Amino acid sequence: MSKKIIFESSEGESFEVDEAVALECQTIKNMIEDDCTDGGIPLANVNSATLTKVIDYCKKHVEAAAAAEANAGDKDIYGANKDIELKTWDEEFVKVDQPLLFDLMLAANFLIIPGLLDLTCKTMMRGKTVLQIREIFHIKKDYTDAEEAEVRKENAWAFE
Amino acid sequence: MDEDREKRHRFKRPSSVDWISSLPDCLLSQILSNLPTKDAVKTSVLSTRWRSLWKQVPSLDLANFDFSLYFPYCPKFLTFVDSFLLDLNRDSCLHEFKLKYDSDGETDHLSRWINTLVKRKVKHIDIVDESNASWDFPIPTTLYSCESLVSLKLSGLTLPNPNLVVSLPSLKTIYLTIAKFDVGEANPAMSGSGKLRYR
Repeated sequence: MSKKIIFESSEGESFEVDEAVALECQTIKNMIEDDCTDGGIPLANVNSATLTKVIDYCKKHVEAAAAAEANAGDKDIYGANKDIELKTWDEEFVKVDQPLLFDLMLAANFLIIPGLLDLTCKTMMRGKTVLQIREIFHIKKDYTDAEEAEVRKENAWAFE
Repeated sequence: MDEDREKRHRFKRPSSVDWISSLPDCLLSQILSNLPTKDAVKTSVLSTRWRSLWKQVPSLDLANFDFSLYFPYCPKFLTFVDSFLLDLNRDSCLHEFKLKYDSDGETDHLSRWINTLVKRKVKHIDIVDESNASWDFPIPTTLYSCESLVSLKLSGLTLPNPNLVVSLPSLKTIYLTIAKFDVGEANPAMSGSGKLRYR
């Protein structure tokens, strides 16, 4: 029976996970090493919806790592396929709406889950035009027309 | 219950607020580092907050057709790569250097870039030279002392015979397409890279 760790979301909801899953978060890993996880870990800035996804991600990656280890001998034959399978799973995982993607990125940054941080950052703006980025993220232009013209001129090649 | 609902409400972001611009530079730089350099540069028109953020990105992903669709050899492209490497924060390590261009046999640039990359502790190099004239040009052997290098992808270039000690302790993959590996006799080339997995 593996040790369990309890997370508490911003709404006060409890989530019980295996210690191995919690160890995917560097922040929690440090807490476990310092032995300060008794009575649960309150995550005041991670809501339940986000936490559910974060735990899904960590579980999947722990399982994938365990499976890869079990098949270590056959790695050359199966290793590549397993990598592709996990990559496909990751791609599906981040097909969520923008606010949740944003929350996932912040949670990954706070809990220090490098793989998830990389994945969410990668997805955030990829394949979007500047116009779409401005709309999606509500970024207001604070340049005067003259200033904007100057910015465009600085790297004219990128706007041609 | 009402209190619960209120709590939940508090964590719901108003949808019309610009949250992303208030993120710390390091996170925004990580987001931009996943875009091709041209797209990252374009974000400079968003607002003053974004004007210079792309310059902090420790990666370059550029092709000469980003500059000119019609002329494969493009001096503006070469100048941009030079100034990017020059402006790079001297304390930061370069994550990725990905280029697709036509050197037209002009190899001084590449030699200079490789030397800078080694100094900047680059992790990933991916260079495609589409010029026929560069085929026999061996890239500088300083590359063999790049201890930070994790992956190396070359196309249209020659990997030279080191003739000296190779120290590539981090290297995991080498991927050569239409590239020459100047092996020579008793090549000690890869003995210095313990992690290398042959593919």
